[in-house]
Amino acid sequence: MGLLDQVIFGFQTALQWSNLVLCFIGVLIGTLIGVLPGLGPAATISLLLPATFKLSPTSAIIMLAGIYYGAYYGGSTTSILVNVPGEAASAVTCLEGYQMARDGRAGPALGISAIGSFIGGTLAIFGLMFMAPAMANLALKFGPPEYFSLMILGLVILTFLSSGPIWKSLLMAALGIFLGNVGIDNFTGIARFTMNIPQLFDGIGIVPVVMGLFGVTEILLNVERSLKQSVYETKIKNLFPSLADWKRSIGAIIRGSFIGFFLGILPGGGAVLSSFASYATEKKFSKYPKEFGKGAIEGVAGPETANNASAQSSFIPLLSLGIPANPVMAVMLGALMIHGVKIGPMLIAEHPDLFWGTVTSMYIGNAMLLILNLPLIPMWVKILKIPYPILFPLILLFCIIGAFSLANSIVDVLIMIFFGLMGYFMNKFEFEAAPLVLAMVLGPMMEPALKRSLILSMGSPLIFFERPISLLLMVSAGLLLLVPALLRIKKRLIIGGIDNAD
Amino acid sequence: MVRLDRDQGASLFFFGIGIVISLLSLQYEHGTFSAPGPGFIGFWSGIAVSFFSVIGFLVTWVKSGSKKKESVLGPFWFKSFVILLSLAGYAFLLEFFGFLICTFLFMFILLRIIEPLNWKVVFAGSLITAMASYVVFHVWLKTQLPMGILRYLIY
Repeated sequence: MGLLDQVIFGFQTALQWSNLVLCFIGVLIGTLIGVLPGLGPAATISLLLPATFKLSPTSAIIMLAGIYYGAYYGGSTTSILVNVPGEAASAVTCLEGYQMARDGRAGPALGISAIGSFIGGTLAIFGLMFMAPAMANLALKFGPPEYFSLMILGLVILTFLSSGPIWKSLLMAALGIFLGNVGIDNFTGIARFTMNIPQLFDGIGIVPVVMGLFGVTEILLNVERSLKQSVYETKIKNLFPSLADWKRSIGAIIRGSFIGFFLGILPGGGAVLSSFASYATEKKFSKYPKEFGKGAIEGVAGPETANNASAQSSFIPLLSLGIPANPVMAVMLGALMIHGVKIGPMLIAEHPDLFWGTVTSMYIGNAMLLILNLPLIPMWVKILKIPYPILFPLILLFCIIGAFSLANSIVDVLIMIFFGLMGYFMNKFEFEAAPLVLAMVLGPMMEPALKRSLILSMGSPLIFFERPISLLLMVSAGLLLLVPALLRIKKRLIIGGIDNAD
Repeated sequence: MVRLDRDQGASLFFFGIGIVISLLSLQYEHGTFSAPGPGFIGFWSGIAVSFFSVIGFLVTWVKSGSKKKESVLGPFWFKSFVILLSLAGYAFLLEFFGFLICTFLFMFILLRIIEPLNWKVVFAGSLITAMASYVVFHVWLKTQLPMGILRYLIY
């Protein structure tokens, strides 16, 4: 089938009434959780996953994907009107968007944010359509050494891109690999670290872990601070940007689309990094750099475009290689496995309805979001006024129900609580959760790849350096680890040399 | 006595965790490099955790002077503690008391203790939440929720 035939096939799937309704429900829920601070897409998708058990895999992923990219549309509303980011990726929108609201320009800020998100999302979907099948074809040449090296590179990129010291991210990744090891070993049938708890024989579920680390932790941290927030009272008018606004924003939107698209593919890249990278870029490129921090519209357009573009492109490694690029994709991977879909480069060939249906549903979902978001802003503003002391118990209740309903077991609820507490202390000591989550997902995939590689090479680790693709991946990982350290040492030597000369 | 900063304390903690992981992994066969056993990954991941924590300790030791002085716990840390206790209580009592009773009690505690609301609001809100969530999740979405002691009254 040619590309056009596949796209038409995708639309035939996405335009079925049931899938249209589910896409709508997904983007609506996504926007809602994007608007509400405290519950992100990772925890929400985990929560709603049991509700998708009766759906087909395609329908389930269409809805869950809608929640993911819908959240980034909603996050900008809270950033602009409340100066509190609804999502971490919208944090940078607070810098300019809230200032625009204070200047009576909340309408254009919200408008350019929605339009930029739509353009960025659409361009990213084009990229997804071309790049995912190409990557899947390349991955067919992969053997166990290539897969292992790719996952090592993925973890290294994630730690490289994480904020904070690299040693912390690597430590979390190593811990995540151990936690992914819990359960029955596929090679020998031995139960490892299960403490004779039958519910752990299949391993620690990623869904309760994500709910704990991203849902419960967030609430524990929020209740420690003041729970009051005020919505900036302003008349929201002129949602469509003026010609002058367009002139300033169009460059930012195009740059944001590319930045978001490429950073979204990288493990650890994602929406947060994309939005910050875009903001930094716009500050550099802008003809009005002094206006930044005081309501520069390109400081809203670029980051919001970038975060939505990255939301779409992060599906590429998941659907083409079976490797999640961020914790949300890790939950999506869990969703696909629960629905019996085999992950890997054959997914596109074996489940064309799922891939093309999901991709085309993203076009439809982005269009729905653009049409819905602007008229529904007054409703989102009302929702923002729900006091947090009433909201957070409901969020916790939904988390408990979601965790319990996975396997009708309190063990999953206890796992969620444990990781919620762990995430609380991780946050206090500035350890990031993303490397831990990704390593927990990749660990069970890395182990068989490593074992098969070592069996093939009769124990020689050189197999990872003898095959060209694997060598390239390992060298890239090594450079990412070593080059920053060497540059720091070089800088210290130069400074030391200058001091001695003085 | 040497005062450790947060990162150094965390490094020491994780160093211990890594050692424990490696030691626990020894109960499973390590195997060889040509035929890794079930304990192989666990052992080496524990070593890696300890290794990176040593790196972290040395890095923070060299960069001494960045000691954070404020407390790890926020000003309202007891609220987080109450939430955790409530969550744990909910989990352990769920199968005995059932979803409706546990949800009512859970909402009651959180609505009353964290940011105290009026008693009537707390009571009504807890009751409505328990009933509404039962209808939505158990009746509509067919989620299997335990009835607990109420099953003797209803059935």
